[in-house]
Amino acid sequence: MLRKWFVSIVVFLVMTMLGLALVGFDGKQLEAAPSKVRVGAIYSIANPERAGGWDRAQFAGLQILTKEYGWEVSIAESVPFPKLAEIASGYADKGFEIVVFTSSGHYDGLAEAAPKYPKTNFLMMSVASKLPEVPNVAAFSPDMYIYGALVGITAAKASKSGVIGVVGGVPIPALKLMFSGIIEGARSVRPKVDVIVSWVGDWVDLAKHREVTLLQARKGADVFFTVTGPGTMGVYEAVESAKGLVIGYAADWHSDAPKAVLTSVLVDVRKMYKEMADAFLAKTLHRKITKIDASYFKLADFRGKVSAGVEKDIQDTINKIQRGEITIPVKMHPDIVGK
Amino acid sequence: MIESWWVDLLLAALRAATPLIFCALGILVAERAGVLHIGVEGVMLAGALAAIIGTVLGGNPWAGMLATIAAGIIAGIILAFISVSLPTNQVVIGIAFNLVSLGVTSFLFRLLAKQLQVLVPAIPPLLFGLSPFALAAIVLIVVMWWFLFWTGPGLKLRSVGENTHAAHASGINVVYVRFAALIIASVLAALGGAALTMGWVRSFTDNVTLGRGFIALAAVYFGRWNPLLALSACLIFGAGEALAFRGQGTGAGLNPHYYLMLPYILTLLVVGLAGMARGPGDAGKPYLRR
Repeated sequence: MLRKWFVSIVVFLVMTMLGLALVGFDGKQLEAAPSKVRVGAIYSIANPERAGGWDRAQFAGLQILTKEYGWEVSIAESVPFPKLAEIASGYADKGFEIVVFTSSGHYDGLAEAAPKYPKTNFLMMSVASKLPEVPNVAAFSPDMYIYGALVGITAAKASKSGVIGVVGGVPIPALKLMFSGIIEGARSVRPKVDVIVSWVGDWVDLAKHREVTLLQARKGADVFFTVTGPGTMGVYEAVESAKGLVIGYAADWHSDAPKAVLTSVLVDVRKMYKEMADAFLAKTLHRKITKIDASYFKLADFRGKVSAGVEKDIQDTINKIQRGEITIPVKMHPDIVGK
Repeated sequence: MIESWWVDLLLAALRAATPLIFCALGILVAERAGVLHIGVEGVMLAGALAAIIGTVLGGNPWAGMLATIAAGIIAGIILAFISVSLPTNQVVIGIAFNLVSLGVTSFLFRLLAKQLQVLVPAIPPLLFGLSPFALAAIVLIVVMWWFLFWTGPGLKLRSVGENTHAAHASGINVVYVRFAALIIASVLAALGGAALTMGWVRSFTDNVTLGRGFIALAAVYFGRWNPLLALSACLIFGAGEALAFRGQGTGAGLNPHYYLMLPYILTLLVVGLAGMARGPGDAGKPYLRR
């Protein structure tokens, strides 16, 4: 008797959920809408709006396409790497004009899908050093080294102890490049600065991120920077607990941890996405890697976390780099990932 | 310096072990009553989210605790109804519950993401820089050991887990005991989730527990269903995690993944060396009145 009731309730719940899913499924989205450009964006993480800095910045960029261009944007989250080409092909099959890949690790998915759909534009909106030999691909690739240098300069000038903590999720090439930039940027303005680099081994475990950061604080770090995924909040928690300061990555992180965030080194995604959209509309979106250089990077408000003098000093140095008056030598630090 | 390094390591191990201890206690109660608590990971996840929702929306940690206990009770009733009252295969329902919990918590987190993506206020440490959760976990271990091995109700609980029909013949209401045990177990697992989010990292993210419920399961098996031994297993796992990060700072220049794999190798060794552990006789067997 009990089992019958249970089965009836389960069937009712399943039917209700399926019904809701079908009601929520907006068939119009999949119909051809000639006046609207349709963009499919692919993330391998969940909740990109609130996840790691780069994902968050990309999400803001995609919003610009919706708000300012009236385009239709569909987002696929938590797509595992082996499924990237399949999801991208799905977008192309449904007539989406643009498919955006948001991580440098998505290259293989892009390379597999792009040759099959010559009428669809496949874009890599992340670090890219190469593109497949087909015309319908393009990349907007940030210069991670110079980005890192700006972070290093800011951290070195803001640090009282002269020790900077840098936490990475997994040592992928883009992060090795950026963290080398941090070391060289910091040393360019404070030669004796100590930069501690640690790797958590994943992008998501809040507790591990927290403990790694706390360890760096125990070694004297007072200004921190992290590039990771949803684990970012673990770093911020540790920084706040240790009464340190953290520099936000790519997007403004102030609202997430107002006490801990010193500033954020922002990526001008508005400029980046507008360039992409305008090129698409002008039919000039061709096979090309557009370098996102220092002119796309800027500092968020310090909100009084350092003295006005230090803030001005940091801003002046960064302005000089953007004008080309100061150059940071490119020197890789392979030792940051050990043997 | 060496002394402070060791103290620091011990505190880090205890921080990492605290959520595991709560979950291990929950598993112990359930399995001592003969119900496999495979759904512990899902309950922990539900408790982890409830703690943050309660703290953020209620404005204080007490609201977070209440929400956690409520989530634990609800999860316990659902699990107990399906695995004890119906009854259904305990392993399958545990796995299904974990999957449902992952989906539901991620969905709810998405709905409330704007409010929840903050650091909740820190709970002040009570003693030696330890959070109230850590101290409560240690006290609960002792209380659980005393309850299970030195009290009448503890004996009744264990007898249900060892032989349901013998327990029934001696006048114990097996369904009632298992139902109650699973609710208590789920509240403890939910508190493990709260210890992780509210007491440690002060925020939530999708799948924040990341298999810690299963590690607690391994700790219970290693500890042969004894609270004190389970505590030592949780501390070993916690110490392994703490050591992995400290290893990176030794200056040996080895690849960080070398250190990061150490806790898993340690877990494998410890569980392997523990040998065959015999659990409660009727654990995992649905109770059908003859």
